Amino acid sequence: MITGSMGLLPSASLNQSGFGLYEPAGGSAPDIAGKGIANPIAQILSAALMLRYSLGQDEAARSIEKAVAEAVASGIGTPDIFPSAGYTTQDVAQAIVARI
Amino acid sequence: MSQASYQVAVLAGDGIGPEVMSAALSVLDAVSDKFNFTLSREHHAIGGAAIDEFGQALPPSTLAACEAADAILFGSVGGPKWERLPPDQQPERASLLPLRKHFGLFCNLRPAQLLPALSKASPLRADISERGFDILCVRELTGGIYFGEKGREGVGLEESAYDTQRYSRAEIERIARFAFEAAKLRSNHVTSVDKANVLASSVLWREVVTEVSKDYPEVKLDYIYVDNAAMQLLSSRSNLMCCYVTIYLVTFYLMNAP
Repeated sequence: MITGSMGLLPSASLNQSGFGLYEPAGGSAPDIAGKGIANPIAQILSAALMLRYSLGQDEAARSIEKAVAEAVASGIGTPDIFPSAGYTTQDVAQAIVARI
Repeated sequence: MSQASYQVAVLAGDGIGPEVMSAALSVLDAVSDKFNFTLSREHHAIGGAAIDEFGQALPPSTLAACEAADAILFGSVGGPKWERLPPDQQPERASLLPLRKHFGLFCNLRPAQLLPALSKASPLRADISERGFDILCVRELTGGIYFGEKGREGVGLEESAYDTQRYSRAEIERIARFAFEAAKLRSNHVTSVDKANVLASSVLWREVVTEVSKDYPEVKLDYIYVDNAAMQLLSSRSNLMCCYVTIYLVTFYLMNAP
């Protein structure tokens, strides 16, 4: 929570051979499912961790993390972080893709 | 040179899982184009969705697909629809925990970064939050007190309950090695969090972490007691917050993952 929202926190669980399971730290949030307002950043950053720790694509991982930081710095985010900005899950995803 | 190619098992799950997964896959498409690798993805049922379709939260077909993959990208599981099932059949307990156990996923990574643009969204006071932070928490996931012997016995005032925390040298060594390797990708700084002033298991933890650190002379190692670590994370005078990037190697109870 001290980072601003549960919707920002990725996680990875790995074994000895570098195989891993990557998931957002937050839950399934059934109360907001289907409304298009879920923060996709935790899942996107989980994908970045997967590239870094299981697939050896550190440069691609950094590129995602940089794109996320840039989108957020531009004020683009779902209502949990920017309540009055009006961006949807898809808007945030597109903004991050555009910055890759 | 042939293009690198990877196989990912995509388990979107329940609730917001499918929505945020779709967003993550569009970002993965963008980086695989840019960095010239192939990421083939197979979607499989997990959690409540799998209970509805196959009668169990982790169907054998999903497990087989995970075994064949290079990594698992997991969304989220659970919801009110499945809350009345017996606890051991519920989406979380019957999918995530067996996956961790089956693949021996002992090393849990929890990065926490406060982006400057979000300092107002953080509950920390402005003079602390505006400095930002970037922490990677490395947590031992399969040993220790969660998995040690536990029980309850006796009656009346003599009734008692207990949990046991035990770490083997091998368990500590492998998680420590992971933290030092991860530090090399970041800041070359590891902070080991323990309670070595009270707990025997933490004394061994500290000894083994110190031994492992000798193989990583380029990585700075320091130690902190877990109660102090929680305080320092929130303190305005903290050196920990000033360290732009650090690794927390956690023995236990700093965080509790589902």
